[in-house]
Amino acid sequence: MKISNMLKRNQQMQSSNAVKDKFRQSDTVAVNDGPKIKVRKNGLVLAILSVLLIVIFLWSFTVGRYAVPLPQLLTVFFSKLSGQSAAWSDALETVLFNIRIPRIIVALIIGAVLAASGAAFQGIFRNPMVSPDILGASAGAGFGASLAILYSLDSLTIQLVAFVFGIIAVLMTYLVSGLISRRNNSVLVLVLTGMVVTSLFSAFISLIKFTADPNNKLPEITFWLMGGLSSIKPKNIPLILVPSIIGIIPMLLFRYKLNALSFGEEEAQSLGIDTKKIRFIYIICATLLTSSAVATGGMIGWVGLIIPHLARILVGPNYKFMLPASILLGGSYLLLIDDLSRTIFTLEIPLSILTAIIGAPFFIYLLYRSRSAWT
Amino acid sequence: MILEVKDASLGYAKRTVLSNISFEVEAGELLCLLGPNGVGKTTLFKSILGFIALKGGEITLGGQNIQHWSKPHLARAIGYVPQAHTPPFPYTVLDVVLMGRIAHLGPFSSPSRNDVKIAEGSLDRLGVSFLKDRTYTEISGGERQMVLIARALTQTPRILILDEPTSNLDYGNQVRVLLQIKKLSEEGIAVVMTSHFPNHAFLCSPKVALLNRNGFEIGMTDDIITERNMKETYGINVRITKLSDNHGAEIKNCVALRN
Amino acid sequence: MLENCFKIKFSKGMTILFFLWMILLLAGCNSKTNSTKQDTAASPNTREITDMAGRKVEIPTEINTVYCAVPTAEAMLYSLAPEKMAARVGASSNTKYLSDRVKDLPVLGGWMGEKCTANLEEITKQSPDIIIFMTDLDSANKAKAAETSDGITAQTKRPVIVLDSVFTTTPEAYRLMGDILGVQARAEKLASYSEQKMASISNMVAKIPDEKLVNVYYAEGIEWLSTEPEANHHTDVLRFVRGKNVADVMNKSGIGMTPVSMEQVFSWNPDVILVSSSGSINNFDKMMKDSSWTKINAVKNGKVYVTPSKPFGWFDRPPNIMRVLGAQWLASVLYPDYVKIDLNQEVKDFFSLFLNYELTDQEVTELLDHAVTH
Repeated sequence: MKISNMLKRNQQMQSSNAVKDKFRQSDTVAVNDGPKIKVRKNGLVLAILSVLLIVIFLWSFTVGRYAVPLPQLLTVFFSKLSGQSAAWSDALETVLFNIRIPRIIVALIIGAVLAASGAAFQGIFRNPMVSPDILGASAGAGFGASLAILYSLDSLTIQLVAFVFGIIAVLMTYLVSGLISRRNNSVLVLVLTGMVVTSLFSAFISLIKFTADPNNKLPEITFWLMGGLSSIKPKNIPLILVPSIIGIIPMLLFRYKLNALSFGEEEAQSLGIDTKKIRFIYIICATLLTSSAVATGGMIGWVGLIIPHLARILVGPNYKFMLPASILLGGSYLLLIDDLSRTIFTLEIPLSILTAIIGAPFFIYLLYRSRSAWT
Repeated sequence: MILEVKDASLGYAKRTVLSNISFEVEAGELLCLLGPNGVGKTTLFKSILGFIALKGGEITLGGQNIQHWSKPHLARAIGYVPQAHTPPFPYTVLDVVLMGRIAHLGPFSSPSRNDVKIAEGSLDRLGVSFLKDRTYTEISGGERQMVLIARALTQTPRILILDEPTSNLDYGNQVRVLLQIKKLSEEGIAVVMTSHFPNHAFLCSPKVALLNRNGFEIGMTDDIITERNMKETYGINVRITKLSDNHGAEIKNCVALRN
Repeated sequence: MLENCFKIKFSKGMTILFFLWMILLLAGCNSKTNSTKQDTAASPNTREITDMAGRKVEIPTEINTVYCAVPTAEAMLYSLAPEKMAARVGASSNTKYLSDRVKDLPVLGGWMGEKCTANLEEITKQSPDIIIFMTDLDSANKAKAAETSDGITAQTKRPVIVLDSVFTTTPEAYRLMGDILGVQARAEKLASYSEQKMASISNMVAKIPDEKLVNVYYAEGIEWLSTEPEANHHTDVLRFVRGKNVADVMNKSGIGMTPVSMEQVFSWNPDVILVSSSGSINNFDKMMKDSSWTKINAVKNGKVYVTPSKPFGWFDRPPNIMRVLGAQWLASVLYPDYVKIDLNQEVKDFFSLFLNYELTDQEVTELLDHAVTH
């Protein structure tokens, strides 16, 4: 006997007594085209986000402290593309290609990878409140940078040392939590260990700040930690680009599996996922991404936390669409913020300040919008 | 496809919870695992599902030892229906059911149109197609349980394992879900289900395994669920009664006594 | 049962002790203390003076030990009465030109703007006769400086004199300190020398027509992307010698160091760059090879100078009396056509008079390394 027949009889019997937890036949019969329409709609959203990113990218070239009139900008680009020789000043060439373009590219990459890491971690830790620094990559990188600044190393070395320490911090978290919870792959232990490692490295950062010369080292360290791309040069690009590409590819490849992880360890395993392997892959990738992002741009918060939420609102929680959406949105977002940071005041406003000021209220708004998902 | 548990010892590193467990479940059979809290029902099926390593003995499916099967291989054979809970993200029902196809997908793929058809088929089979585009976190507990069963079916498994599929459901939904499970087993799937209630066994399961402090007993429902066994297992007095249903078939019931 | 009671009482006690301990620690460097009660009855061994912040301070008539609470004051004290210096604020590596005695003085930390590294117990133990606190005393800063010094007095029970570190008040500061320390003759010598040199430079640069004034960028920080704008006191000397500070940016008081971007530097395109020598921004060669910086006018024309800094900064960081020499240096570097002085001789004279050190030609060249055009 089909359930629907039983239901109809039930309804006849209890027409007046609508029990809340009863199966009910909804009025709108699900159209068979449902999933197809959704795929098309999500595809469209992704396309729009890509276009948005390109538009913001191009627009970013026109803003900056060194005034470049739009006609001249276009002349420069077309001439470059068609191989014509430079008919503009050396300074303009340097500003555009040595300063602005690297900065724009880096802002884009950092935003994209922080958002991707945040999205991935939210799935792995089954918690929408998680951000990419949860395992200590950010604090570790901050410590590495502070150390390098203390020893007056140059910017490329600072970036490298920060990157290495970011990785070391997560390694510590992973190993220690592995020792503690030997058999059960507990994400809770991972998170708690991550918190401890983060606190540890934060304490070391404070120690460095304490011993640093307050006349120049201390302000430098403080400024670096607050995040900013004002001293990005072309030589900084490889160290952010290469780990980002290495990290983002597996993330994108396995993203459908991430959906099942959010249902719980055992359920995911019962669906056929090697949870330990997937978690391992995503943690390595996210660590590569986060470490290189923090090593290059300082400790920029809120991007990894709110962009995935925004992506979820636009395309739903299915990582098949949500991860690419996060990447596109994250890149656009940080690029816009960096544009702001270098134009609204005469001094460079650290990125973490802007992302917090803009991000926090925006997050409250997102929570409000998606409150049905929590309750 | 026979699930066979041969002389298994089950438990955790420091503690053996059950030992000398042996039974089989065939295609089309429905086995109900009865027993009080803490006796090892969960340990038993977690061992079957591969979440806990066996301490001794073996478990085979179709004659093959499943101990070292890969997770996807296991998932294609065994469909697990956990108790419904709330995941952190608002997936649609169809999304959830589609996840059952993961075991059949390559490492990088996402579901194809064919997979979607299979998923929709599972929902249809359970009569809950109308839930397809609803948000999983917004539907009722009973509906969620059905969705999870649909997901397990989408794995096209040979055997279904359900962990207390009726907890958190009201009386009506409990009955409906149980009858649906019985129907599935009649359609050819082997089913193992845990439960706290003897009446569930009477309702839908001809075969029962009773776990209690004294051990493990398996047999036909009528033989296993006796007043003496209930007293031994649960420590309460019951009376087993017989009724006729609307079609003249006999149905038994276990009634708790006040004294 | 009794055990448990004891354990609870014990842990409660520990918690209370812990909190008391934290409170004590926090009270350590806090300068927000109530105003001190000065001894109203003037004993025969003390007298009252007014410091440069307008505070009336009771000090001993005879002063033998002085401690500088900030690095800014150390140069002045060393030039005026080195034998009275009781301790140093920070350990520095620039001790070649200082006397052996001073090299071995204990390091007690100090009040360094953003952080207080002072070892209060040691300072109290050393019990210097007076403590000097020196900072720029604009109307905005005066009250805060007074508050900080009152705080120091409260914590160390020693009288604190506040001096103004604004460059142009150097002679006044010397005269006041001379009076306080009882070394009026020496103070007068140093004060009038400073006045004379400052006036001489001032006159020479006054003659420069506006269109010949030079655009200068003061490069501090990582990658040389921090600076001080016109209004900031760290660039007192630059303003004094009529260099035009290109940095049209927000002023950050205290430590300063306003962050800027390379694009801004490009849009300013300074003719001269002063690289701050504080810390170890000695990657002068890096700037000369940097693909972006080499497009800036100053770098193209080789007009990049590292501010001399031995034994104390000549230009800034800390802003101290050596700026008298620094002004001469900077004026001759920026405006060689208008400022005709024999810089090497001036350096030797200054070191001889102020630091009691006779420089060789070799040492002068070392001091002016990367600071002059060759």
